[in-house]
Amino acid sequence: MDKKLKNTDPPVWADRFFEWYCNSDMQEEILGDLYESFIDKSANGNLFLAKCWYWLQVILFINRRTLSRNKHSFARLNSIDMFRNYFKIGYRNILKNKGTTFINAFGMALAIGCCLVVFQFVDFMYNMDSFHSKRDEIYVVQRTMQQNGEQFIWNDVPQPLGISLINDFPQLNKMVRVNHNGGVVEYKDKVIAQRVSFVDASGLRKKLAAVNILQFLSFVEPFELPF
Amino acid sequence: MKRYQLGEFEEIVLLWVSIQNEEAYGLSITEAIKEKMNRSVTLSSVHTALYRLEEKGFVKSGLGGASSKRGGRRKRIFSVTNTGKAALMATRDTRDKLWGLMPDGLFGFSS
Repeated sequence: MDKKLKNTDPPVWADRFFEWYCNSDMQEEILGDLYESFIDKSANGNLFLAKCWYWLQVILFINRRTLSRNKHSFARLNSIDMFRNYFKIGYRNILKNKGTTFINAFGMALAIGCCLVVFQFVDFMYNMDSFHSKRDEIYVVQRTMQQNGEQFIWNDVPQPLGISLINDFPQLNKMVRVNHNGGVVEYKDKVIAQRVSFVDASGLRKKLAAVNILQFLSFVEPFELPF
Repeated sequence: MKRYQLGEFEEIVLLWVSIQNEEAYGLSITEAIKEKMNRSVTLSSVHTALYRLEEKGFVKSGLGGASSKRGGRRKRIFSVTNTGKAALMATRDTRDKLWGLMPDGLFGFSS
């Protein structure tokens, strides 16, 4: 096929020269016109004359317009078009499989929501009472009770238990007791109902006196145990 | 009035675009001018005129119709816009007005 048309092709170098100097937008139509007239001329007359004419035309086509480099033709990046295509295809897929899409989206939303709740919960648990500097050495004594066959855990223990614990066990360093029963407070003439907590003397940064004295203290959160 | 000014060659090219309604492209206009008007024009001057007309807004163009006659390349078809039509009619009106003011007998007219 190439061999057959070899005689009647316009001069290849003229084409290449034209494609080199000419602005890309106009190449196709100008080359098409030149090709058409070349075919006409070479069919009606001398092939050599037609080729000379072709070269002449290519030279004559050099002007400011064809030489100008079109700076703005590819300025807009392809990536915008690609994004638009992706969104288009994605949207069409959604419409094609509405059920699957709904299950996917809803399931993921649900999972993320559950994760958020769990993270909040764990964070709360871990950081509760975290203002204590030596919290891994502080323990709370709890009371377990059996009631109707069920086990309950209460946070309160009898008051003397603290004294006896610290006297009997040398492993224990310090002890403090906190009592959260506040009630009615009277100061001179004023009577107020106030939430009050009582704390052992050792909770007040004083040397421990193993005496059953509960001092009066107004509870201001957060209250860090001073050891 | 200034926006409708047309050079002489551009006016001829524009007229041929209007005549060849929807089938006008570079080569067809060149051939028409060469045959019908006996002027020698080059393909590049016709192309230049067409691009300038498009920049002025007198014609609009579109690509279409690849054929093996052109080696598989598409051709750019030009068609006249309303602005172009207005420009042609304004030019014609100017010429008519001026011919109307011509003194009798100069060119052998009756009026």
